[in-house]
Amino acid sequence: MKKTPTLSNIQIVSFTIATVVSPKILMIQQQLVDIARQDAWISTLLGTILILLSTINVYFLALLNPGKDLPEIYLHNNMGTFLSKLLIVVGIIYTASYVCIAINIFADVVQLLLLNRTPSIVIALLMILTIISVVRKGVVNIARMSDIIAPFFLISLITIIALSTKEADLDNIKPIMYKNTFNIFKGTISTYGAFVGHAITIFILRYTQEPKKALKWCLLGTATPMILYSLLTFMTILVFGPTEIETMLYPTLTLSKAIEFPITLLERLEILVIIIWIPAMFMSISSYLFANLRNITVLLNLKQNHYTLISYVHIIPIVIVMYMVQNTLQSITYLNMVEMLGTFLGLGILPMLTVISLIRRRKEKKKQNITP
Amino acid sequence: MLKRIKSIFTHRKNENRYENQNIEELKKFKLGNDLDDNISQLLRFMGNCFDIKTRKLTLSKQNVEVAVVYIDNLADSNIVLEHIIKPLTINSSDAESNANNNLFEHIKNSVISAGTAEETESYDDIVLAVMSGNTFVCIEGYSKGIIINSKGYSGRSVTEPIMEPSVKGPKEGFVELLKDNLSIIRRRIRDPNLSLEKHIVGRRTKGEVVIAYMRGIVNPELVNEIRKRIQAVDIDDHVTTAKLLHFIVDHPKSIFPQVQTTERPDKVVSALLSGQIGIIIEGSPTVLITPVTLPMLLQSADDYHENTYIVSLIRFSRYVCLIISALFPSIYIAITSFHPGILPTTLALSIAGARAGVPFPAFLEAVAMEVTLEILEEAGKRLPKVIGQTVSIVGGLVIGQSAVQAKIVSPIMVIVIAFTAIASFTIPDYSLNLASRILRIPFMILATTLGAFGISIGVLYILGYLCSLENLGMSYMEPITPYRLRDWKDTIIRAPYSTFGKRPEFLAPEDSQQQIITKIKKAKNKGGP
Amino acid sequence: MMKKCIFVLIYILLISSVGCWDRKDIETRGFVLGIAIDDYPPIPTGGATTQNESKPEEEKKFELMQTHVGRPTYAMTVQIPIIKKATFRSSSFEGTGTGGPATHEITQVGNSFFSMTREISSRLELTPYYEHLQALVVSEDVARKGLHEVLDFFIRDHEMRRRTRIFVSKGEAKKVLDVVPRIEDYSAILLAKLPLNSTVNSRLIQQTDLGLAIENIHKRNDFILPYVEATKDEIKSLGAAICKDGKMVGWISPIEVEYIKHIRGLYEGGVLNIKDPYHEKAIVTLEIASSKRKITPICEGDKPKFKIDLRIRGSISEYANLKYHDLLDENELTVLEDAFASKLKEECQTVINSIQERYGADVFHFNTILKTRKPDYWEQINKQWHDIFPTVEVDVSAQVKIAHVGNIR
Repeated sequence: MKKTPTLSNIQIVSFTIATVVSPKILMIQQQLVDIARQDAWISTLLGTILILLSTINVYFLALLNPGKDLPEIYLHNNMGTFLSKLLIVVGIIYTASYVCIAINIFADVVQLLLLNRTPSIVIALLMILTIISVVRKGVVNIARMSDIIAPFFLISLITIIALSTKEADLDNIKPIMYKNTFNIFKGTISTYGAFVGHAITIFILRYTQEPKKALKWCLLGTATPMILYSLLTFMTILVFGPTEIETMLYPTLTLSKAIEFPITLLERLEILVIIIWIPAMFMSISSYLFANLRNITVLLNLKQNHYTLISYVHIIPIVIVMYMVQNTLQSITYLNMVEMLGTFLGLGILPMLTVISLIRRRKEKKKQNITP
Repeated sequence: MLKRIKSIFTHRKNENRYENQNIEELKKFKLGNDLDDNISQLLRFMGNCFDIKTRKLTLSKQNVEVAVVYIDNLADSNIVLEHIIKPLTINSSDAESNANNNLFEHIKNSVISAGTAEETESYDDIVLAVMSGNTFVCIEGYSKGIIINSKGYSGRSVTEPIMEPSVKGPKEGFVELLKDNLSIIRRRIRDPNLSLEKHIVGRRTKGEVVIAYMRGIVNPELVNEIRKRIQAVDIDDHVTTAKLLHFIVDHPKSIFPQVQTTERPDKVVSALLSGQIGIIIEGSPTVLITPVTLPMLLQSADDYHENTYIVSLIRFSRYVCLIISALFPSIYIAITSFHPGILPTTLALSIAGARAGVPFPAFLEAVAMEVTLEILEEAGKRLPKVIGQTVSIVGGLVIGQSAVQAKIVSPIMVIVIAFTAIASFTIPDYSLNLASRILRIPFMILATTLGAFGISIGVLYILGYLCSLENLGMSYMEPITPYRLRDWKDTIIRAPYSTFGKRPEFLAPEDSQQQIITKIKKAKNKGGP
Repeated sequence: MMKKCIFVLIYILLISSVGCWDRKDIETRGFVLGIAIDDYPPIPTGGATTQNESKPEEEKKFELMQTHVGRPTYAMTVQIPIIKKATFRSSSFEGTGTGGPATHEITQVGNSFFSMTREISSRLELTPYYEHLQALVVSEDVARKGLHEVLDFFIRDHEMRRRTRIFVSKGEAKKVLDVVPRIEDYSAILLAKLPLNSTVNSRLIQQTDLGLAIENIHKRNDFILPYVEATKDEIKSLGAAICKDGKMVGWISPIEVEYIKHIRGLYEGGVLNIKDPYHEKAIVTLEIASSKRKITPICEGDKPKFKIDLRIRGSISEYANLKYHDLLDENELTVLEDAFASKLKEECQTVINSIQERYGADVFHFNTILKTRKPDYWEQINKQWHDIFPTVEVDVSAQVKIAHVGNIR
């Protein structure tokens, strides 16, 4: 029985939670502390508010163009074929390069911590093959998997935050907001760039049963991980202090090394962090890959049963990127570049699209009123 | 290229075949007026077997010959003798010979005192009926015959289900006779909405398959689909649960069971009342329930006889046991070979000490123990009960203990494997148990090549596969995903009965209200003792 | 169908071609439980264990190694448990149980710690494995030369844990590791568990983690590390070593450690004795349950002043007085409380002054207080803090509350 894929509204929550994870979660504290010193947690909170506003924007965009996802909205809105196709191509560049860089960093981190001597290409290839096996069955499959994985990820994040309260030292936070306001705002933009994944709602609102009632689920799905990340940043700063975080590459991992499980049952909690991070990254990259598939399908006007082939095509750029990027510094630089592109798309293009959709809607209503 | 390899294996040769009678082909043949002709034709169609008995009677008054054909080891001789032959010999003489053409009607309606009597003309019905144990009566001069229900074969008596015993529940299990099974179900559901549809499946075996569902509760689309699939089954062989399964489910090659097979009537009854469909097959003591999801396979009949908190914990532990059963040996391999840093220092040192002197790497140890375990389990199935105890003692104690003392395996490995085996037996559904056992080996291979990362990849792949399994339009992982909180009351935990208000949502039942809950008002003590 | 076969084939090829590069069975890893770092010339001889006494001359040559650049300056000793002695004892099979030392110590000399650990693997069939490192003992000479050079390897390598404990030893560090404890199996684990007793003994420092030490070095704070000394089978804490600018500058006695803990707010539990105010010869003991401190910086002029308020809660645990005094009398308790408070105040003041004079090291972390509460002021005096600190005035006041008096009055 072939039917169009439908998701329930609650699945939006776990889908978004799973997508908002980014490889940045291991490194974001270092970047933010570089910019905003001990007030980096305020940056994340403000970033949360910014992202929530952006989610509302995305929701209205989807509402104004019912039954369409992002590339179709570009085409639908009378912006001229060339411009809309150009924007779709920009979208493809963003999602594709995100997928490649994310897998690169993922393979790097796994190689550093879990498997020292295995070549990272093997790790990357296995990961992408498994992701393809999930994505090619459609969006419903991804949604179901994220339903199962999202709670584990959230619980482990809460556990790490809770266990690190014992090591927290309130002096590391002070002085609060001391001559730092401008840097806090810079940090907010940086936070936004790291978590542009929330815009995936625009791809999935098309499949839900009642898009009109979905607003609170979209907000819940975006707010939950962002609040947890703010807490995580807060805790990291409390435990280590800004001077120490500046020296670390992966503050979250170091945080899990520093906490002690009270019963000393398990000692190296960082392996647990990695184990839980692997499924979370898996879901995030799957969602981005799915978004990319939709972009390409709409751009080239293909039918849906070509999902499998297009997914396999993605292996080639991933392998190329794996060999091109030679060390950690380069991959972080590329990730920052991709995030800047994402910020541009999220804060620039999407609101613009909402405005255009609004104008178009009004024009259509006027036409309807004139010609009853 | 693959097609060539395939064709080598399925190459059919044209042999000389026996001339065979296909029952459908017999449709062309109809009864004639001559009795001897009819009977000899019938016997020829049935191969002239020695156990087909023919009794020729002559009705004295009308001087008409009547023949009674039956198979004596299938038909109930009481019915044949007392209710067919006797009335024919005695009562027919009371007939008023109004006219000859009424004789048939008279015999059919007034003389034969058996339970059913049907008229028939074509040989396919007659042959099928006689082969099923019914009796055929033919009257000289009429081109019609009467088929009388006289099935009387005996089967196994109702005993406790072997594979699914229950502590507090009823100890009745299904048997091979369709009649007995249906009576067990009917005794429990006295609702007239219980619909039983009979289908004949199997070209040569003509087995009976009954679809049971509750009209008014079940989603009609499901019933239509199942009916369509069963009617499309075209096989020669005796239809068993496994073969029928192959045709009903969407993914027959998947290792995960997509229909539930059970021997317990209470499971079938509650499934029917939830909006599922039951399929009962003649000759098979297991009943199929479809459509089924993974959480349903982890429910057991005992869950409904105990307190809610205890049962919820036990249910939750079954999910954990499913994971342990599939993953524990591979987790052990991954932790000791790749990441011994996870363990507390003293434990790491004692595991290292236990493994010192063992010649094989952890992976080979694990595979060897796993294979030994499977061999023991397989051997246990073949043994009669008398020898069973001895073998388990030999296998477990002697082999296990001696292997440890000879330093072939480390004692920790024995513990791991034993615990895994025990955990796998907590899974109520046997097919799911087998599936989790099969999954152990690939996970062990993944663990030994890539450690914890390999296990994660394997788990993700299996999860992705499970999420994409769909049967009859329903996902295998409902109601875990999408979250249907109302349905969690009976899957992950078992909430108290007072909260069971509606049927599971994912089955899309027509009537979702399950029971009307009346609150028992506490009688107020007014001037009591 | 074809696609599925290709897919599965790729998977299998990938996985089988990986070849288990990282697989290493647990019994082939040499768990390094403790590391001792000594100054190089001379080669440390360690404590008098049977191992050390029977070491042939040639083996001492093995301890030297060729360095790529420079001359060897450190001698590192690793402690590896002998697995056979740690086995699963299966009833009558193992013979007479453990005999001989349960650990194997290997000393290596060099100047780069990473090279030294790799060199050890040329003398041992097991690969050294650092994820279970419990304790790191640094000898006083090395600590005085500089801690940061030593600790960098232990922080940078991803196998190390940040919670490894650091100890500074008086004399040779190897001697501490060579201790064969009477109850515990390995000396490294004994060392690691020692600070856990800080809830009952306030003269032990509980914050000895590697991560904390490095943090303090990065923040340019001064900190204290436990200072231990070892005999053949016992390790005793001698107080604390004061590290300023990442180098050890001196050490303080255990009682001074106690008062520093009060002032730092790290006090977890301990004991305070005073002379009975009524009887010269008797002693009253207070078991302190909690100690809270409040520091108020007063920023006027060039030098800040600090006012420290200590609030102690405790119970009388020993009152060896010949004449009976009713301890449940309000006045009695107040007298005792005042006596305790004044003793505490005196001692804290003395300790602060003494550390200011002797070492000028801000182990009380007054700089953090200024940085967090008076950031403007801190910016001005930031650079000269090490000069200003010895002249800072500190005013200590204490308040003691006696909660329980035990079973008897």
